[in-house]
Amino acid sequence: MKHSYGKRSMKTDPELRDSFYNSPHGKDILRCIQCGTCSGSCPYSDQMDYAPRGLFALIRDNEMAEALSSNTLWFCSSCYQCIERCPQEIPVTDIVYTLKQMAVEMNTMPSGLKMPDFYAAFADNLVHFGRVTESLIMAKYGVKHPLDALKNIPLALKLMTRKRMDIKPQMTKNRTSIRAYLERHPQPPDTSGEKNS
Amino acid sequence: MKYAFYPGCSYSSAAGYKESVDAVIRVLGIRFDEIPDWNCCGATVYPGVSEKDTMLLGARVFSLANKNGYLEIITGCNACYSTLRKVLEKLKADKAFVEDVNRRLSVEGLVFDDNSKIRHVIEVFANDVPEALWTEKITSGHKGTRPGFNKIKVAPYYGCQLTRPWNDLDPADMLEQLIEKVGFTTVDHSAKTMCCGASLAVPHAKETRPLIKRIIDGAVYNKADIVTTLCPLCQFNLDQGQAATGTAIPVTYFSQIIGLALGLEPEELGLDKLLIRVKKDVLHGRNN
Amino acid sequence: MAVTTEKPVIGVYVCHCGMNIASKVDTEAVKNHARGLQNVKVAEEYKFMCSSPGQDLIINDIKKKGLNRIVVASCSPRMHEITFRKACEAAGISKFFFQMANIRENSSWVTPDKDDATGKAKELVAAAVARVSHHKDLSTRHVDVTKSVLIIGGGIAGMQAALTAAEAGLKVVIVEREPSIGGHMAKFDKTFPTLDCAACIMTPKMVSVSQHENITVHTWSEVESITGFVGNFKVRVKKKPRYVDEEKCTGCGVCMEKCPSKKITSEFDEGLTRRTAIFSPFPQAVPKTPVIDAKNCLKLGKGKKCGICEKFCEADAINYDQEPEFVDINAGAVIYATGFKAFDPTPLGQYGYGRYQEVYTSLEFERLNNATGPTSGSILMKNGKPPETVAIVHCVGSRDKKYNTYCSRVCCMYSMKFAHLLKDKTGAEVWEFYIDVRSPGKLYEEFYNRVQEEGVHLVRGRVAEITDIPDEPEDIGKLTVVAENTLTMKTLRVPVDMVILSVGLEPADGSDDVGKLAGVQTDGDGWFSELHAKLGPVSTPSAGVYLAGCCQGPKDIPDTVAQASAAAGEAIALLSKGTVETRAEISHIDPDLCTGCKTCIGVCAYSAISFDESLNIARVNDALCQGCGSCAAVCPSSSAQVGHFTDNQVMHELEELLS
Repeated sequence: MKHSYGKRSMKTDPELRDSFYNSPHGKDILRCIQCGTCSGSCPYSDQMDYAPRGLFALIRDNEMAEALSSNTLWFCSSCYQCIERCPQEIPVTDIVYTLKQMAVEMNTMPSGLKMPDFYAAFADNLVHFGRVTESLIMAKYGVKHPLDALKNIPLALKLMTRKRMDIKPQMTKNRTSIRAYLERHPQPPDTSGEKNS
Repeated sequence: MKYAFYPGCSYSSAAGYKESVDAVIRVLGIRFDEIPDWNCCGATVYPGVSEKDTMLLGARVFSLANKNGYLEIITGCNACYSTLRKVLEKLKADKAFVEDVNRRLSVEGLVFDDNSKIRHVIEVFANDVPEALWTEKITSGHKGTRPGFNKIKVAPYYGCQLTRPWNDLDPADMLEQLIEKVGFTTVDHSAKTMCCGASLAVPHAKETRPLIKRIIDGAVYNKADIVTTLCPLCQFNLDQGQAATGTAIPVTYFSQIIGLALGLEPEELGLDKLLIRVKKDVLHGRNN
Repeated sequence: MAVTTEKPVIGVYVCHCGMNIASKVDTEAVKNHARGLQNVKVAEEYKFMCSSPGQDLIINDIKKKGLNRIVVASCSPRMHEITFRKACEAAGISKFFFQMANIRENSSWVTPDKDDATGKAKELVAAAVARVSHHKDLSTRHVDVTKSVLIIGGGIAGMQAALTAAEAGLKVVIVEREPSIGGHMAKFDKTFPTLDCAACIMTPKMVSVSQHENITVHTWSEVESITGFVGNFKVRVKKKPRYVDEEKCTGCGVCMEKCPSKKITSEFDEGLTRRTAIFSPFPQAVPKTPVIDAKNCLKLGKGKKCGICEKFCEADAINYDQEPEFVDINAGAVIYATGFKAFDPTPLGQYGYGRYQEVYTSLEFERLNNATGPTSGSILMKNGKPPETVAIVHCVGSRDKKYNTYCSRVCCMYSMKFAHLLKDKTGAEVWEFYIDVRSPGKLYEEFYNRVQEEGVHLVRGRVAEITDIPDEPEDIGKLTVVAENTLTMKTLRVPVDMVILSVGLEPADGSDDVGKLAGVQTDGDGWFSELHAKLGPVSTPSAGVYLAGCCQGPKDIPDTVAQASAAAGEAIALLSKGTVETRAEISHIDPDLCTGCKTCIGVCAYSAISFDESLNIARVNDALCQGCGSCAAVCPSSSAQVGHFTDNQVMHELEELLS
């Protein structure tokens, strides 16, 4: 899996780990006894380079580059099964969200991975319209992943016949104020692999 | 009884969720006031982009309801529930940030009230509707025109984000109790809160197949006739995901179950929108 | 030691404590400061005052220079007050004419700045000098002790303590609340690491206990109250009615065969079988005499006409009219041996205990293995077949912030024992899921090696969940155990027939109430608090009260036996002299000043103050008083004063500190 790094060289950047530790719950991972309950509970752990436990081990070892460019973050479905069972009460899902924020900011997603593009399409939709419309998200996502989009055409047709396909975008009246609220207008993360450190 | 209602972005295109909830509350005499000009809460996506923005999006939703005189909002989507509740709890714990948020919301003349609350729609049906009203309105089972619902086995499916990470649903078996109260029989199975894959289900259909299969297997092995859910994405994933598992057990919304028990027609409840249709004998109650 | 009213002649000794004090406090300056204080004749400094030469310094100065008061400026009195008091006595002055100034814990160790530290040390020394001038000699009394020990709990800990104490000539009374002694160990099959049969090694002890001339055993009994003080405890024991006459019963067991009430869940079999209303928990029970569980007895509990046991008893031993009997005992020492209970894993819904019938706790599995258990020692599932695959799940309810944060210490070993027994008895595939393997005892690590070599699949990964939804249709009916193998980083989903949850240990039910009877505290996890975690593991802050076995914290059988003998040893040491000395620093009420208001009696937590109606004054029992000072604090006439902490002494110390 080709990894693309952000502008900074993360390999030996101790500031990155410190800034992670300073995030809410960042230091909680110091309590991790590496039992593996989070990974065992995770429905997508089979797909992850490192299940959550492994991510924490990497971060503690200052392997931030490895952690932030793993596919782990992008296979989290927010099921919260990990938090519920962790014997050290580490809020795993929330920590994954923090890492996602860091990854998005530094553009460290593995290239070609689907979920970052899906999330980018979602975020784009939200920023522009204030609400999201599934068909529009899929359309935007499909630009980056055309094969996937094509594969879903039968489903789309079925949904259309059942009158479950909204093509018209849902939107708030006050679209500009929503946009103004949001501090960042997130650029869709660049996963083409062209950006390098 | 009236409530500030937050539909969420997936509500109107869901397979009969809106239709069935509208029909049921009409019969029960409840009013759901859709929050005017509501915005997307960010669901499980935006917290991975910006925490502060997600809090602002959520605060706006609450403040819109506050403006209309409501402290509490209700929603029918697990992800919206969980995201908005997280935002609410974080805002309540951070007075300084609330000031900042209110400063920004003042552009629209909005103010976030930190006494706001949030519940899921099922809590309204389970805890707020008086027993006497149910008894009056239920026409199924042993009482009224549609006997035989008690022979229909329903597998309850909560999904993830209603019960986790909160762990305070009261009663804990709310969905089962509601199903039984309206005259159906529940089926106990081990997949009630297993993950359906959420937003990963369509992009990662292949990887999600085992998740869907486990949940459906839970229902099928325990001889359920139908599954019932309380989140648009869960229903969607379990409904369309069975194309890959080779099963065909219908996946309904709990409001559709309630609607059938109230004597409403399947079309009124949007049951024709399900990809896997509910069989006739289930719709009308089994007599043998 | 004669009380002296002569002028104080004080010697002050400033200790360096190596670098502990000297690196921060200018000891020379403190010494010089002391030289200038009132009544100070001698001031010296030395590297280690607690050492022999240090003590000799004090002793020689007392003898040669006529010192009659000593101040040592060094560490905390909790460390060396006794040392220096002994030195004073050796030199011929009362040990109460000594005062410590703590310039280590209270100055050098906690003050960053050297000048501040030195200044503080000077003030502390001055305060101590002011105080010691007003010290009075105190006296103590020797009180006779009862040479007997009460042991609460008749498991392996209680029995071991009893045997040790009895062999030393002490009279021992064991009070056990179950119908038989033996405790949890009687439930086990083989024990680790030697695989000794628990019953085989324990029943000889049970018999010794029951036959020893110095030991009296009260089973089916509970301790109602404990009053008194060290060496002289008064205990009331409630013997619950057995409804069977112990003298007449021959233990033939016919009553149990004939009893029609057969559906009662057996506690001894951990709920796996049923018992009758009249029952003896296991065949090797001591005493053999059964008891009638009155609540579930058709006649006694449900008002029905039964009486079958009486009809069939050839020894005429049944007596439905038995009442609870109260026995009053005098004891010189008390040993708590109340044991543990197993953690109930029901709240961990992800493991399915109580939902899936083939998920067992470790204690339940012990019963399956034990020859007196529901399957006569064969490992069988509820369908009667032996399992082909079994999973053992470590750390259930232990090392978990949601339940018990501590490690229960014995589960890794018993889990590996189970793995071995499974291999031995059934040849099943065994999967063992752990976080760490803790095998610290003698031959424990070797046992782990052996279990590995027997082909047990040891997987490093805490089990995430156990589900009855299989991945393959042919596994319907099996349980699937899901865990990450953290070493291969793969998520395993293993179908098994049977699951054993290695549950942790918790304090026994009701132990905290029993502990309160003798003033024993519990720690944050509910275990009894020992006197000192490292150096006082079998004693408690309550004099004469000791702890043995798991009631003080989870431990295995070797440690339990060791601790039990240790507790007995402490009791023997306490009682060997035949007397105990009362405390010196206790309250005394001046009869000339007491107004008879009785306020002190209301605040005394030790019931140590009585009221003399004829003289209209309060009086302190010098054996019960613990010197807490509550009475002195509330006394409006200041007639109650605590020796060595009188208002006069404390005020002089304070005045000097505050000046």
